[in-house]
Amino acid sequence: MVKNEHITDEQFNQKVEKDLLSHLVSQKRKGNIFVIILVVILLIGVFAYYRQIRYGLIVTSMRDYTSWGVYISNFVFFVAISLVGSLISSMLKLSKATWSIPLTRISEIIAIAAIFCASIIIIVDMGRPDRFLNVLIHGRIQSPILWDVMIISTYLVISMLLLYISLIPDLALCRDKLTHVSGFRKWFYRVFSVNWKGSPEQYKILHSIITILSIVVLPIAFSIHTVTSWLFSTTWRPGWDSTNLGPYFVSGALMAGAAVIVVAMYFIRNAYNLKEYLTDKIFDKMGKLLVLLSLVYLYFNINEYLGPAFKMVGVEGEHIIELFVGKYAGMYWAVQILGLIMPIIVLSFAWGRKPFIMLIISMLALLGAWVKRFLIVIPSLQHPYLPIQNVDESYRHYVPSWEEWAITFASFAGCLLIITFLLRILPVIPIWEMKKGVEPKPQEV
Amino acid sequence: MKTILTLFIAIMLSGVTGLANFQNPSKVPVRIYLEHFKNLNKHQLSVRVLTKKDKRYKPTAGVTVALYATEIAATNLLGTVTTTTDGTGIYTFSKEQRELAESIKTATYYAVVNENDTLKAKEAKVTIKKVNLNVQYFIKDSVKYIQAYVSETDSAGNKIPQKKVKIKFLVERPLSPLPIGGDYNATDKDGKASVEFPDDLPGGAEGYVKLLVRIVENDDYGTVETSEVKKWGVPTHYSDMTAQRSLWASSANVPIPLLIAILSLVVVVWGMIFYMIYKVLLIRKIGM
Repeated sequence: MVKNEHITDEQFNQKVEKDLLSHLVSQKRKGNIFVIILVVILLIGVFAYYRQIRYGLIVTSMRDYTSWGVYISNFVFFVAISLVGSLISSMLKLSKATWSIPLTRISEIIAIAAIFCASIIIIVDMGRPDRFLNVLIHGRIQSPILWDVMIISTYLVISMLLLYISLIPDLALCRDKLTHVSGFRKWFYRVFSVNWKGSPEQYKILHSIITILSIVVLPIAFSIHTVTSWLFSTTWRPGWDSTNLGPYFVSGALMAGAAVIVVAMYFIRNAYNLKEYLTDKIFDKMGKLLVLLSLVYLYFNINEYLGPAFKMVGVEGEHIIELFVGKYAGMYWAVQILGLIMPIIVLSFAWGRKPFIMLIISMLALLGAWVKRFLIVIPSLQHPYLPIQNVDESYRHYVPSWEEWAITFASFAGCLLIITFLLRILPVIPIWEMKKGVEPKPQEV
Repeated sequence: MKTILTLFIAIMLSGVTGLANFQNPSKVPVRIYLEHFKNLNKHQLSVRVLTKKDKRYKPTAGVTVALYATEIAATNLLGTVTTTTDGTGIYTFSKEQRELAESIKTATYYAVVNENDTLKAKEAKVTIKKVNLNVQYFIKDSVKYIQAYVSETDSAGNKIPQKKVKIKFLVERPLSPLPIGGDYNATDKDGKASVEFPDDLPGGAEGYVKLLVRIVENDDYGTVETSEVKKWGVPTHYSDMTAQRSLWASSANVPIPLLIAILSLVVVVWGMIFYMIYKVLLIRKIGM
């Protein structure tokens, strides 16, 4: 939001407070219907998971060949989405891109929800969730699986800190201004605003923590997706046996992260009437960023497939043929054209960077990102280097069972519920960073 | 008249067959394969049972087979075996049964599946002649040889060489023995067959290898085997890769640099996290 020259800082700040706190005091009916739908989807998923626990992983379509099914595809997708937090709160912040300030909290909330759901879905994939602690107790520290457990838990904590630290002044504002909210929320704002008074010393500490966090989160965010890629590249399978997989995963995650923030921005802007804050200019900037990230991802895509396609060696060749002209060709080319090439072309033009068109393009990119993870996981597993002799024909195909779909949709519903819950109790845009003349000047600090 | 009579007989026959099938509709035919195996330590009878299912004979588990020597009589029962999932069952002779078998020049064994609620009765037999399989291991001009001599003993106690008996020369190894000197070697008119032992075969830590000489599934003798351990292999020291510190070792053998790197990263990152939590508490303290 741009400050008008004819109004004082105080008037401007009052307007910002009023605009950005309004959604916390009045909940819309549409929002409640949305929550009910999500809860129903979640409950269906819980029932499917009950069946999986009761009867075992046999209720899924995973067998000896496709032992990582739609759950792991979904896990990789959530890990990719979680990179949005570091993209906005770290990379853009450190590069002084002030236009991205209104997006920081949305991105941090999405990052927490995504990484939380990634953690849950990996436990769902375990046939015996009660043995999860064995991974930590008896795990081999040489295994990328253990590294992934460590890095995901670390990233979750850092993401929560990243969200929380920049929230403290706004929580204090909620504590002071929102007097007609529930007892729980009053307690929440009071406890978590940690006696914030906006003194120069408090601002000094706050800024130092935010700077440290912005720097620390960057290698952790890169590591989380790189280590996830190592789960694949350290396993000897066609399509995974690649040194390119780390940057390929990271670039794909950054692109998916940018797409998800556009989608979230569009719906939040309309639901909470924030057109003055989530402006067309921000959409335009995000559109350009999405083009850049898509180009980087396209570059790594070409690297990933050109080498094996040129050599067509053995099982690796079979895998490429299956993707290019075989049974997965439809999905593969749809992902590459609709989810990658089209965003580059459409968003390269100013008319393509209008909010609604960007929403459609970003949703295509997101759908493409999910299907791409499916294509990374499943076809590779169906072409082992050491196949089982006289293998049952059903092992060569994989169509997720209804339980797998139900749990997958439930994970999306769970992710959206977390985001919705946090948006209902937290200011969606950092108010203290939008205000003028509130922070003490450097010499005061 | 002749046509009517033929038709009557045909109807009667088909009626009897149908009646038999009606009385015993679920009983399936059985096939039994019986083989005799003998080596230095044991005598065994091996049975394989197949039953007809969906117009095909398939190995069947859980079938009890009675084994008899000489004739099918309760007094001649050697014992019983029950088939496993691959349809096979192996019966090992007791010490007394083995001594008795060794003293007989020609022995006949029977395998019998008695009729029960699901299976039809079936029997199989195998006749085994006593054979001598003597093996010599020697080195000539630095080349190692294994020579088998196959003979039968006549009533006067003379050894009669047996020609054209197929012999396998094998070296014991995990999963299945390694054939040497070709797949099949037959005895000559002197009852002898020999092969060279390769000089580049790996042995144990001191070069020991177990050599097997086998007459395989012979119509007259069944399977007869003899073996001996010789120090003829190349001494080989196998290093247990999982016992060394490596990426593929157990958790107890993690490479030290990797351990230091991971622990350092964990300490540094979590140290920062706790430092930031401390700073938050500092904000709270300042505001009090």
